[in-house]
Amino acid sequence: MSTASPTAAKQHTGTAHGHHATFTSFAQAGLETEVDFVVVGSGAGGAAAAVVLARAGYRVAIVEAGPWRAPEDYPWTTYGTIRDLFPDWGSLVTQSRALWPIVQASCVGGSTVINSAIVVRTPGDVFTRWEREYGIDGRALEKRVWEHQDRIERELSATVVPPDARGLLNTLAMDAAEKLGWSSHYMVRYAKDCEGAGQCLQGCRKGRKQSTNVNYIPEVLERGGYVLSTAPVKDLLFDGRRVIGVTGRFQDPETRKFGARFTVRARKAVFVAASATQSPILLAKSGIKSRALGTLFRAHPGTGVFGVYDDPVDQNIGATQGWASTAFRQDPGLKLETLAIPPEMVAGRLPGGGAELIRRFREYRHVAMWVAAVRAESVGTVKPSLFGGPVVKYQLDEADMRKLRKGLSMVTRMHFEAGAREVIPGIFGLPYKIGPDEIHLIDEGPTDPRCYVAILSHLFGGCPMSADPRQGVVDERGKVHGYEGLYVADASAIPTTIGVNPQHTIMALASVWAENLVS
Amino acid sequence: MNELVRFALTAYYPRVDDLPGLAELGVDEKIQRLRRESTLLFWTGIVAASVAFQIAPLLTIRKPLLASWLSAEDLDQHAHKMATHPGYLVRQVTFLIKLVGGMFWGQSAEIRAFLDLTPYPEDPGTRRVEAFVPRQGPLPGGAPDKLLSLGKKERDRGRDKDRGKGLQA
Repeated sequence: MSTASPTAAKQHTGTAHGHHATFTSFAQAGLETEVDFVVVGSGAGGAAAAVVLARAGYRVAIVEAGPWRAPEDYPWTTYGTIRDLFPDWGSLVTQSRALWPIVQASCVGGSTVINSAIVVRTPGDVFTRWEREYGIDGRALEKRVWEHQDRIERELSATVVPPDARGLLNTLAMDAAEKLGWSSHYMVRYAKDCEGAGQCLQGCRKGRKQSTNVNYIPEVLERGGYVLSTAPVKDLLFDGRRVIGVTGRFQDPETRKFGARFTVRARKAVFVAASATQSPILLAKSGIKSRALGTLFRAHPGTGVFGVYDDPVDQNIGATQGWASTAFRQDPGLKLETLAIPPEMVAGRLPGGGAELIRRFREYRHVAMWVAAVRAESVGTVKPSLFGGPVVKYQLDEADMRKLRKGLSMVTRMHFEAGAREVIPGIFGLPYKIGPDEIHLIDEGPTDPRCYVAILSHLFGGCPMSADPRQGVVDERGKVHGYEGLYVADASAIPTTIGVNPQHTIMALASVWAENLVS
Repeated sequence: MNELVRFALTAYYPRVDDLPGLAELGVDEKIQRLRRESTLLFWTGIVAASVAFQIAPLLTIRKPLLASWLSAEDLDQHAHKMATHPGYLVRQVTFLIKLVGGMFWGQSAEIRAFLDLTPYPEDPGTRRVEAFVPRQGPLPGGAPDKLLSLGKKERDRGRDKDRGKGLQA
């Protein structure tokens, strides 16, 4: 099988001076080491925290459950993406009335490998809300978060999608927004010289996207740090109420069987940054006592409609996501954006089956997908299952479903402004296609979440931040209430939705919290 | 088991005119590979969905038969009606079959050729055992002509002046 070889593909690049340990065989020896800081997880939060600590001269170990894949290891296909980059073949779904998939990656770099690297600064009103509802010193945090966001933008080449990489998917959306007089923009992304390969979701094989596995993590290695990959942490280690390290067993990414044990002790502290679905589970399984653990789980659920155009759009030629509008973030609470999905996903996403499905698919080159993501106020929980994995209970309430419906109506209107002849709403109970005079069908459409094929990609909470230990798992420094040497530095600490793509916020918050320990 | 899965997947992606069906696109090898590589949970879900597809014609076309006993026309109707069934769970079961079948069918070289796309190379499936640092120098390639001409139009329209409006919400 093609995943059999854990070796490098053709190597034309360098090797970092550091220590990378990973599963190699069931006969490999165990690993025990001691560093200053252990960081669990290598995505936006973990990598950002780790690099701040490493630059301050500390010895840092990053422990990541997934394998390390460099850009030339990335898959081309959706099948390969699900197999190589998604945890458990992407089988995590919300367990509520509607089974909506939760999109995350499990690899060195985490979800920064498969997202569109969209950069939006944390809006000021978010800090105000945290201050009001969670007792955080919002103004002080805001200043420091924005300082770090300045730095990260420089370091990771935050740039507007260049004109030559946009593609019709994105320029048509700009045309529509201009005609409607809606404020919008071409996205700013962590991407260097993007060529519009349209492969953000599979990982950027061109290495243009600045996922953390191509910058901060190698830097941690270069500074004498450690990376353990294919190393899911099973337990935190304690000395009384102080956390002193982590332990687990290396895992073969092909058979998913466990091999040698690893134990990494932390002289100073452990940062948990394993994601909004995994961090609460690790803390719960390790025996952390907090009534807030697993609560305040939130998301920006999103779904899209296909506009059908007379001329080919070829949505997979150009940036996967290049246009957005955040003008409706406050009222009604939406983000509108473009999203190209590959043909094999469209084949499964279009309504219908059999010959009718194939006939519908024939229009693939003529369709453009634009989506609405809801700044939802609904809350859910993340708790461990009997088998140890996360159980996410989350469902949009009536008010949030109305927002979603409104968002779909808005992007439908945009399609018609841009010249689409028809729109495929993909909402159960509505016609397969609607014309410009039928947008009201979406406005009056169902609010039952089971009628929509949505996904959750921006996740928050589970280890929420609050000054009050009854309300939050961590305080405003990211430290777990009631424990020493244990910090959470990922989206799970964010107590509310923020209405914009969260990667920039996660990276800056993690940097602030790591910097606190440096100073 | 593989035959059961094959039957369901190919029913959703049949040949229509010049577009080949999944049955003609090496589906058996793809299913064997899926079985070998996927998790037990994922494979069990696919098998369960395929069983549901077999026994559901009564729900969809009101015929008390297994799907494999249906005529080609009825089978096609059954597949379509399952995917658009009022029952959410029925649709969800179908979604899994469509997801997997869609991957197998939509990423095949023949279908990509129909879409004027180059074939996908083989997924490498490799990973790093060494500490690996990709350098960020220029890589071969470049934006295709279609994107370049669109980019020129964007510049002509003054749409290259935005210096980061999207940074602030």
